[in-house]
Amino acid sequence: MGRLNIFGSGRSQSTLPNYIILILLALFAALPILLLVSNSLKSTSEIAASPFSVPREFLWSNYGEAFDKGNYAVTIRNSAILTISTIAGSLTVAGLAAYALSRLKLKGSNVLSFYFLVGIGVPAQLFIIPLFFMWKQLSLVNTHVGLIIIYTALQSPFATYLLRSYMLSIPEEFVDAAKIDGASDWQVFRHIIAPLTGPGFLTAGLVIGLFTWNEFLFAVTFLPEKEFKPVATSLYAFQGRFSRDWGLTNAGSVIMMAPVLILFLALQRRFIEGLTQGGLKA
Amino acid sequence: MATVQATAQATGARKVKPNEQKIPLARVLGRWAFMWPILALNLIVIVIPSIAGLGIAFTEWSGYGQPEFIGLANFDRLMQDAVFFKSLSNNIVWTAIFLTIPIFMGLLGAYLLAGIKRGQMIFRVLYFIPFVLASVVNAQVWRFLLHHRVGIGPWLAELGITDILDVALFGKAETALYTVAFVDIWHFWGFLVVIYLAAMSAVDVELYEVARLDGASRFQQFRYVTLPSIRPTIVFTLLMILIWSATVFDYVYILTSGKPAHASEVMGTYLYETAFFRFDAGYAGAIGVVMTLWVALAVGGFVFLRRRGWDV
Amino acid sequence: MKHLKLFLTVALLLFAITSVGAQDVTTVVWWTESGDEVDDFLIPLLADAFNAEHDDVQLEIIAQESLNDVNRTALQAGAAPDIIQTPGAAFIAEFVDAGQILPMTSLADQYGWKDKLLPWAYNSGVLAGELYSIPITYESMVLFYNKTLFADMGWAPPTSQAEIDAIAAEAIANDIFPFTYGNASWQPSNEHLMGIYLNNYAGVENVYLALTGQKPWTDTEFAEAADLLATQLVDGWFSGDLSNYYANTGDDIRYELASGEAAMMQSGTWNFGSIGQFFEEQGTEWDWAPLPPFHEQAGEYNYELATGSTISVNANTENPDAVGKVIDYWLSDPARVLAIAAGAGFGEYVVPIHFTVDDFPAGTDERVARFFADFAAVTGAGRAGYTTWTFWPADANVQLWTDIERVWSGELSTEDYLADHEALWEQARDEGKTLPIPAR
Repeated sequence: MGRLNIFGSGRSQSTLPNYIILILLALFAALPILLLVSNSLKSTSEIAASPFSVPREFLWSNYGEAFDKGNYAVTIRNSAILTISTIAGSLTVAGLAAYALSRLKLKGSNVLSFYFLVGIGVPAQLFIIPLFFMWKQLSLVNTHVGLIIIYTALQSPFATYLLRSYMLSIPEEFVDAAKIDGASDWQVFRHIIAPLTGPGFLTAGLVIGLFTWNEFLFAVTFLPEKEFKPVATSLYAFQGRFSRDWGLTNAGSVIMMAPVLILFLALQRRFIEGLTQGGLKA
Repeated sequence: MATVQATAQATGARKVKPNEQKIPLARVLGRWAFMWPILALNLIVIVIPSIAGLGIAFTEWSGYGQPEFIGLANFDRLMQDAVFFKSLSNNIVWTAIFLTIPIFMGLLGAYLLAGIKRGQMIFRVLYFIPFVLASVVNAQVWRFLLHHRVGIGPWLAELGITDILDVALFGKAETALYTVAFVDIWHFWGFLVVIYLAAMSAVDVELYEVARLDGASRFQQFRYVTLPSIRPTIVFTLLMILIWSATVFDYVYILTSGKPAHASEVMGTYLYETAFFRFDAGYAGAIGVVMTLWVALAVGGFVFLRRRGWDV
Repeated sequence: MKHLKLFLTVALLLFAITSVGAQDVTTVVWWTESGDEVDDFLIPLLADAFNAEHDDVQLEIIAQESLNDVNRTALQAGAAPDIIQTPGAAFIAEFVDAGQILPMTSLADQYGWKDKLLPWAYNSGVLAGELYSIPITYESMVLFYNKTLFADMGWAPPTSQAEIDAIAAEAIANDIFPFTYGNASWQPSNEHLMGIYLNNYAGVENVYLALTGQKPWTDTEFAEAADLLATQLVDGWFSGDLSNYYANTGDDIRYELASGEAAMMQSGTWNFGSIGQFFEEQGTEWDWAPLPPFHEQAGEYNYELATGSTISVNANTENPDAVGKVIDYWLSDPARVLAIAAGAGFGEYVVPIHFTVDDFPAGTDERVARFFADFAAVTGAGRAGYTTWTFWPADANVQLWTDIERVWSGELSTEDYLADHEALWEQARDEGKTLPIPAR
């Protein structure tokens, strides 16, 4: 089975209706994106005059200009550091917590659930100033480490619940078998639960990565120095006080999207491999 | 169908572990060790600053100088603020929309994708791209598409279909909120496809085979195998949507800023306007507290259901 | 964990290395709002030039996205830069209230800034007798029009409400919008129009009386001014329909004007820099005229005074003298100011100092130079109006541009709207939150 296919061989059930609906959904998702790419090759005034036409002449220079003006060489590097570190940190922290919440009978796990989830819903405006104050005392302002800690804390509750929901789907027999063999909680986590939650970790990693890549408010507050700024700030280089260069903005956002898309493709490949190699066929 | 359901529950349900007797203290402490990292981080980054921040709601404060304690006065004011209630009701409408339409689209997309062999990857990427792009860019694309002068509407009007899309949907009190929600759904639903697909991939394939042997239709397979098996993930997304709907901000702010005349105002944009333009950080804090309470209620309901034995 | 430790050690070492060798030179840090003009013009023409001429003081300009949010947080934690930039006068009042701004009066006396700045601009930074801020840009409202369309239709720029009505009637008969405007990019754009109608219908003298508490905002002149705007908006004079006004972005309105779909646009001089490209794209020509009086009681035409962003000295700065040196360097060279302003399309960094014709960089658009000359002459003669974002206290200002939408939608009567407005003014006076109003 090279692909996940829940409809079996397809002899009795045709997949044609699937494709029709899927293609309609794909057009819904993708046509606006096509417009974005087309408009990334126009000048701002051409966009305003004829947003839907094919570019009069393909302004490929938008991409070079956007890359320089947006300082992408620096911001992409910064965001890569932030993103990779946050993914690693959050998945570690959340993986451990999700295991404890889903598999170990902890007294008060309901209270913990409550506490974490409410934490997700606190508007940032309510705690960003006191947090900044603390970070300044700890000399963590203007450091990548400082922001990575914040991102990890912000993202790990979400990741915990996502991973927990995947871990709950793992059949009990796997764990029981290991327990009979005398495995410790840690060993069960390390050798059974974590590997079987592969797709969950990849999905959570993707979501965390995306959040970190696009995050703006905490980044501009905690990294005011130019050399630390992340990629989300680059789009602001095309914004004047009373006008925005939409040609460059569109090109810049395609540039910003590219690394995430590559990451997504890479992760999804692993994701499918993970499926075929996983022990779920048992 | 009975067989299928029984099988699904046998593998899917894992509520009470049998024979879990007294656990040695050392092992209990050891188990808590799995929670320490996340607890410590949360405490430092969110809890301590939030407690400090929540205090703002009980003060009169411009956001710059010394706050002055005024007790519950800000909350009294909230109770008489028509704009606040308009925002709150818009948040409720928003939540209702997001709990239904994107969930349906996400399940549909994921289920259909799980059933095909060729092209699964390309569909998945296409669905996911809108979620990757910056909100300011997505907003601009839809501003063009739904533009009263250059968008799809005038083009349809030429074909004789008038009065639907050839008006300024973002500028009309009756349509502004729904139009923003539509754009946000376009951006969001692909994310649910990815989440659900990952969950569906963990479902035991044998269950489907058993179902087919029983002569289950495609819809019955979905209803009695897929849905129960990925229930924890669905509940998870419902909960996240409840939480995010309380704090929704960016698409509303970019596309309408609550216009016209607060018709599309939500708590997030109202909080921002209050703090940023009116220098009323204390009152903004009170709005923030209501948002947090909303989340606490939603999560409280979730915990309550779990106590009642729902395996969510 | 091992890696984290290693990382921290390296980071600390790097930090130690970079902080050595920074002795004897005072660095003045200034955070400005990010924008394409900062890297291209402000930094090379101001910071680099200043640094090349000074050994003891160095100026570091850092562009911040969403500057106001960043500043608010940094100020609270005592981590703000030496020079604090705000979006406008109302913010300064709050900062001063909070004790976060150092008075610049002695610096101003030392360097003679009172003579360098335009008098009204200098006074806009004076609170309770002390100078707290200097505007780094100023602007005014004018009537932009499509010159090509006007020539085709045989119109001349209107000089009275009767002439506006005549043009509007003819325009509507030809499927042309009399005006274009919109607030989708910036909701407070509502106040651009409200300010224009108050100043040009009720007249600047009446506005002055109301600003100084000698006349209530509920008087008929102001009610009629608000009604005139409301009627025009509801009747579709602006871009065809009120809902279009709400949906129009800054690009949309400049396009409608350039394409001839609309005849005129009442807006700010910040459009000078960006409007040209839309007309080039359409092969048409733009020009501007002063906004005419909309009623006899308004007298001769006037220009509204408006300041944009301001700069101030952080109360916690260690080097107020160095900051003074930086500011004076900027204020003392009109040609440099205008070169930076030209780079920003005269929409930002037009510091309100005295210019002469020779100060303008070669190739400055005739229409732009004409504005600055006429503005100086007319406001010098005392015909100056008041923009709402420069002279209104925060609460009354926000109510002015948010609640007016409820008037337009019919939810709120003009009387109630103005009564609420008056109440907020009284409250501001009681709390001492009013802003400086230059004497007439």
